[in-house]
Amino acid sequence: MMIPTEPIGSIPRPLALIEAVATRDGTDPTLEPLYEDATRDTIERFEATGSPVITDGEQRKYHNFWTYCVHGLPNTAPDGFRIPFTAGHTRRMLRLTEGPFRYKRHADSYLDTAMRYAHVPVKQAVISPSALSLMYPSEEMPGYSRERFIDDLLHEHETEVRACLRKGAHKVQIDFTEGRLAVKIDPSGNLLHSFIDLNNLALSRFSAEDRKRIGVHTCPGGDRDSTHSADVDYAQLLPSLFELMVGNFYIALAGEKDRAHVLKIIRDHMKADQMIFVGVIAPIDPRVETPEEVRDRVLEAAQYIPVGQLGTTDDCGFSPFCDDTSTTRDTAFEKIEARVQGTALASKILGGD
Amino acid sequence: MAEDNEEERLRSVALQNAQSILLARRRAEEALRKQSEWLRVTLASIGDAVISTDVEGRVTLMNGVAESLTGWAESEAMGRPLEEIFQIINEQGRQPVDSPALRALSEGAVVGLANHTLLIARDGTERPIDDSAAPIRDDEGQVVGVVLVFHDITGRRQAEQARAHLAAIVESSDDAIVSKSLQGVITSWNIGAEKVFGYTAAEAIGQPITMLIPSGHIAEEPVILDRIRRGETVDHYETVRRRKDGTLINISLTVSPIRDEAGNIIGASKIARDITDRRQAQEALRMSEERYRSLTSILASVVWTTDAEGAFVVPQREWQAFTGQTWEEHRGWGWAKAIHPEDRERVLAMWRLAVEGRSYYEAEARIRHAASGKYHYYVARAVPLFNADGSIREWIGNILDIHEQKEAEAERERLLAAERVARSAAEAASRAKDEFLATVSHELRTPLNAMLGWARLLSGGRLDGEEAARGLKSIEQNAKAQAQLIEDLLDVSRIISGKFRLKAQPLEVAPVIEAAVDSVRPTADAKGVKLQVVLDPDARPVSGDAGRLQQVVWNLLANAIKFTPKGGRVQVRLMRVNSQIELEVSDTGQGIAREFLPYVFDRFRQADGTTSRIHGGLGLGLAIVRHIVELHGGSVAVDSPGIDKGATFTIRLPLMVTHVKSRSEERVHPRVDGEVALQFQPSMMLEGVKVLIVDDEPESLLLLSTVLTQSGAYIKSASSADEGFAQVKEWRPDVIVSDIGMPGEDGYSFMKRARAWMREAGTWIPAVALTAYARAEDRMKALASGYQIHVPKPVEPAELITVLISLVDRPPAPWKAAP
Repeated sequence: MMIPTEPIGSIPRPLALIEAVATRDGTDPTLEPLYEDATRDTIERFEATGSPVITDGEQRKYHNFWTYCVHGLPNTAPDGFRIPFTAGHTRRMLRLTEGPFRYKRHADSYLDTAMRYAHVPVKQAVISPSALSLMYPSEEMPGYSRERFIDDLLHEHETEVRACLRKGAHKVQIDFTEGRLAVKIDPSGNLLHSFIDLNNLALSRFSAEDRKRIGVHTCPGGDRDSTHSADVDYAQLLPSLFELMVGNFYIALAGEKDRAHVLKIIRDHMKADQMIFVGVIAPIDPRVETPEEVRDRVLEAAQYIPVGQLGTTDDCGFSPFCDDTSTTRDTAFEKIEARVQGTALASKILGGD
Repeated sequence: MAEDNEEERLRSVALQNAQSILLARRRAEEALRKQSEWLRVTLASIGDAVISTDVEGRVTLMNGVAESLTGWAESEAMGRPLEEIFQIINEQGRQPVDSPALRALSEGAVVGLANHTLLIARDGTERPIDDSAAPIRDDEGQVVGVVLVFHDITGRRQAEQARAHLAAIVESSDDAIVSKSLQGVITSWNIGAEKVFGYTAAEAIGQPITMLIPSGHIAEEPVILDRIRRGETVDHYETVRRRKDGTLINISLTVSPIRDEAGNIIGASKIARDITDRRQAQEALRMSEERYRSLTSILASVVWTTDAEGAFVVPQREWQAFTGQTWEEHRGWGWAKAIHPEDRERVLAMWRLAVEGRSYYEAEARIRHAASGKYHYYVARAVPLFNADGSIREWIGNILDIHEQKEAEAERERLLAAERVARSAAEAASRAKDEFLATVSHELRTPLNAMLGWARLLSGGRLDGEEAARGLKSIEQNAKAQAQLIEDLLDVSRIISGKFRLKAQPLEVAPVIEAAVDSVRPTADAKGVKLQVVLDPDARPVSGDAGRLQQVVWNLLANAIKFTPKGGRVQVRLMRVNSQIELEVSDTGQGIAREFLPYVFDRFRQADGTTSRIHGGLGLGLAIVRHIVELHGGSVAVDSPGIDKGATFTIRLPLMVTHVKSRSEERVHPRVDGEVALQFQPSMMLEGVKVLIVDDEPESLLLLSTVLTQSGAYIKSASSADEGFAQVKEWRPDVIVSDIGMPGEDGYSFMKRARAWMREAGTWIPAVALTAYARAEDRMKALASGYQIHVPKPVEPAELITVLISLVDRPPAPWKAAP
């Protein structure tokens, strides 16, 4: 029995592309060949790792995984909330200045390109509604109520996910890195629960079958080899996380200090119809894990998670923010290859393959 | 600090969002709830069963109909494989059928069930179903499940079978079954119609129905269509239609309206039966029967045959024509039902007797005659026909209609009987009239005789004072009696002519009774009859005529006293019984024979109408009583235990509704006004002649004795025949003067006995019949019985004396002159 393994999403872009984007607007048509080449190359290299499921490496996400869909909207301002990272740098979200709220672009457009080059299943990551909900300012916006904004947000998210599923995404992964951040900001858990509710509102629009192809990714928010919420105990997040109505959970684990602790929490709160993809690769760790190391992490996880519900992944994307060059493309693919091989090793041990 | 503020603002925004998310969730939940409710109601309200599955074919939803048909509750079925819930087999092969739902899932297309599929419910019940399955797709068109819709077609299957059966009947029918629109356009046409009319369905459908109707019958169609539009059915309408080849056929039509589901009449169905053959057969039969009826009516004789046991074993056409019995009715012994019920058993008994006795049969009875619809008298005769071995082969017989002969005989008998009755009635009336006239004559002459005799004596001036006074009193009494007789006759005349009138007024009955009692009390006292009066003081008044009611009471009392011997008792009793009063007059007298009781109140009827009766009178009193009582709205009845046991007359009169004080009115009893003076000059012309006077009336005896004594005669009197006969033998008078009407033995019998004795004694005494019976036959009868002269009352004394002188001077009787 082969234990499934999937990537999270982003792969550091080629330097040429990074430099070009730094000097031009990401939507500049002159960048199109660079995006195309980067995507093709990423997919080729992804497939070369032996990964059964790949992504486009988010080569076209102009800015980051969080704002790709709203970047460039005329009714936004760059002075949104600031997200501090442990490394000392911050990322600032966009602020909605007026209604209505609409996506500038949907992630399925990236899938179109990837599907042209891919020979293996492609998964597509999308940003969660809860992350984008923080774009609405604290003050009520005249003529555009918060309720109306939430409705529009849900509609846009549903449209994006359905499009991805329709276009053949092997999985649609909702990035929910703000989960741990919510606990950090509001230790009472209320904020986390409202995020869970919002995301479930969106997921409830999908059938059970759809939801089997939808997953949620949580991590402490890796950026430039640091995190924004690694200090938040999973015990405060995971019990609520498993309430999300999806079939797949991509949980960062490799970077956790006490993986057994986290695995116990997972074991205690996971449900029978949920697939748990544990992170066996730590993108923010510049060292490339060996397959054996990965194998051992899988075996360790298998002590807590039924093998039939167990999968492997990376703890996070390798470049969730597009200009992140802390990890090179080569390292990323090496790490991915290690995940694939290590998972295969574990599968042999666990399933006899 | 700025970082803290931003974090706080972030938390604030997130928490504000949480409120909106909560509201959104509630809205979504409400929308989902409504949608679920709508879906639930929709699924529950549709008549079909619905099951949906997920992409793996596991049940995700069932509605109530599906629960009912499969026997699975939705809660139990959820998540189970559809094949477990929805088990279907082929109806004929009974092999499992591939689930259309799973095919729909795999093929992504709508799949219908094969025909003849049975659903096996959880409890094993099998139902024919009809259904289809369709894939459920998401927004992107991906198959994510299947919805299976099915329904029980048991009812539809039965309806289809019924329709197929009906269609087969229609198609196989020899009758033409055609439908048409209300505009008269043919819309369907069965094979029977093709056979009857010659058109194929293709030729007929769409054509006007009038193409089948001959011109002479074209007016029928609008009438039929009008009736159909009114919702009426035309039953067995016999008419003529035209075939395709132009020939005309007789058909019997039944046309009924066709209605749509809303009940609107949209056309008509017509069943046409070719009855040409039947009509021809009926006509042939009618002609045949007519021929036989004509034949039998002429011959008045029907020939028939039976088997050896006397049963009809082959149809008897002449019998059938005569009686109207069908073969089914007259076969076997059914012929007996044509015999008149009163004659049937007798005829059957005689027929059985003949059959069993192998003998000639003849019977006369009444039999049903079809031509006239009545029973006819007939005489039936039959003889057995024998086989060579002597056994009866069959019976051959005939019936001969003797109805007219019997009718004539019956009419003659009826006329004869009527004539006898009429003649008897006429004779009786004549006799009654003669007897009445005789009675009237007698009753009127009797008092006249006394009055005339006394008048002559008085006028002769030779009576002393006492004799004169007695004579005058006798004249008065007899005049009163005659006046009463006349009054009664007048009353009867008034009754007969309808002129009898009452002067009705409120009336107390007791005073009326007392007045009547007072008037008869002297008579009762004189006769030694005790008269008792019992009056109910509570008797209430009636509406009546005081005089007439007094007449009634007086009549009853006078009768009672007359027929009650000395020492007897007459009682009058008045009482109130409910809403009427009862007046009862009873006596201990001679009573009335039971057989005469019904005639007591008839006019001119007397229990003893003979000349030897004891009591006189016209026999009118009680008839008048009844008439008066009935005019008062009452009734009168009589009862008597029999002869010598007394009689009771009871009068019932209705009470007046209100009690009104009666106005007493003195009743004046009928009387003859004035006095009649008679002149008589006696002589001694009968001096020394012995005269025997026989008369039951004392007054007559006294008068005759006085008259004849003054003429010098020796007189002996006898008040009865016996007494007279004794005097004849002992005293041997020279002449006998005898009354005829006497109680006990009358004057005729007396004289016959006297003559017989005289012949034996060798003597002869002339006799005079002095009687009120004055008819010629009375005279003849008197002379025949031995009287020499018949002298009717009243008689002048001089006339009587002259008669007596002539008799005593006569030569002796023939037998005395003979050697």
